[in-house]
Amino acid sequence: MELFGECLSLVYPLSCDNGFVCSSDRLTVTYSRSSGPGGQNVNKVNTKADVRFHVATADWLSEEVRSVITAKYQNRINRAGQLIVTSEVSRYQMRNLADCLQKIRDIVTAAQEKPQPQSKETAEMRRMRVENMHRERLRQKKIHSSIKRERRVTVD
Amino acid sequence: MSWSGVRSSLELLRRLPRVSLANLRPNPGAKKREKRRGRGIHGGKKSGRGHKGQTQRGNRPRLGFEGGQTPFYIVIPKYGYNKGHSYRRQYQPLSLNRLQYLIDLGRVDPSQPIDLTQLVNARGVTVQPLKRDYGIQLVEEGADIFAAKVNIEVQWASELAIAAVERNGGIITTAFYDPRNLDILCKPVSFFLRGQPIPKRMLPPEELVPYYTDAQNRGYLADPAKVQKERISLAKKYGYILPDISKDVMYSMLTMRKDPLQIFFGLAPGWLVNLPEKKILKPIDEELCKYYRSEL
Repeated sequence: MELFGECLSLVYPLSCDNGFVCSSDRLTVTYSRSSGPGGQNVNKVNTKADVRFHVATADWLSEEVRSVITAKYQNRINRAGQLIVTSEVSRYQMRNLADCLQKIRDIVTAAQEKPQPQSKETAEMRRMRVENMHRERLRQKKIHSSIKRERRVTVD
Repeated sequence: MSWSGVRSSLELLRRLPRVSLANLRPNPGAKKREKRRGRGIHGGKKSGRGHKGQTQRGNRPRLGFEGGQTPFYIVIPKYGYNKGHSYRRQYQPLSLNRLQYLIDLGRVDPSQPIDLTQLVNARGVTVQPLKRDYGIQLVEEGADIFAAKVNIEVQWASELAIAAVERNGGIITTAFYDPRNLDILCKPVSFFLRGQPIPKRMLPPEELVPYYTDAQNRGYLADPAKVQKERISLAKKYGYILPDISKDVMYSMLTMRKDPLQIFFGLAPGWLVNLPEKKILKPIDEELCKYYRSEL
């Protein structure tokens, strides 16, 4: 059962190689107590980091990216429309925050990825593989059928 | 001091007899008579040896013997856990918790660059150069509560520790000291009393050169421009705003850094410090000066 500690809206520099930058106070960071074993330390110290941002009004992301995120991460978006990313991997608040930011970067990078048009060779290879699978399946089916037929005793 | 107590004790001194062997005795219970074996009631009869057998006859086998079964200390195979241990470099850990504690108690002054000498003077760490200690390492414990702006120099630091120091507007550098110079750094006064000129610091050994030339580790041999870039990228990684040091009041103190050949701030290699007369003797000879200024 977590109880929320401090609630901060701070300027966090978040950027990645693809070139998006979130530099305004868009990320809401909260710290709370982590779960799991750890005795007095885990009971008292706020180490779990919780980072949220409102997807619809995130103008540091393009429209397509926003729609992709809304579609793909529906389960992690709350009723207010905020994407929630949490982390409690380590004993240190700083490291958990770094982990959350990395997760956000990964989400955005994955959302920005465009599916590459398949090359002809790959499409051809795929078609051949599917055909082979069907052919093999039907061959096995015929073998199995002949086995069953031979076992049958016909009463003439 | 109660005058009546003093007066009565002086009266006692006047009245009582002289202290001599006749009126001295130890406190009750201070001297306990030893048990002399074989001399009657509780030291006698079997004399604490038990009844018959190897124990009474003083014939027990060696420690570890298990009656013929392969003993535990032989069953366990040998493995080189401690092989070459005396060649391994050790770094005394200094947690950020401890550093904050020392600063809060006023034992370490954050308005001056923090060096191994300052920490040893404050008895914050104990370094034993003769036991293969090559300095101190900054450990992450207490990274979340660390809130001091310092210019600190250590011998090893982990990424989170670097981030914790820089987040508060401080500067951290990792520097190498060879064992002789580390001993001098830890105990400067006893070195100055020896009457030897300050030696120049040696460059790190081959294995450590990549570590100390890397900007990510804030090595003292790294390119300062790269160090600045790494500071910015670390801030992005850990999600804090890198404070602008150039606008700080303590900018000159924070950017104080030792020359790779220098051991002490304000003292160059080759100088001879005369502590009793409070004088410093500097070499004039060209060759000597050239030697003390060259790195190889």
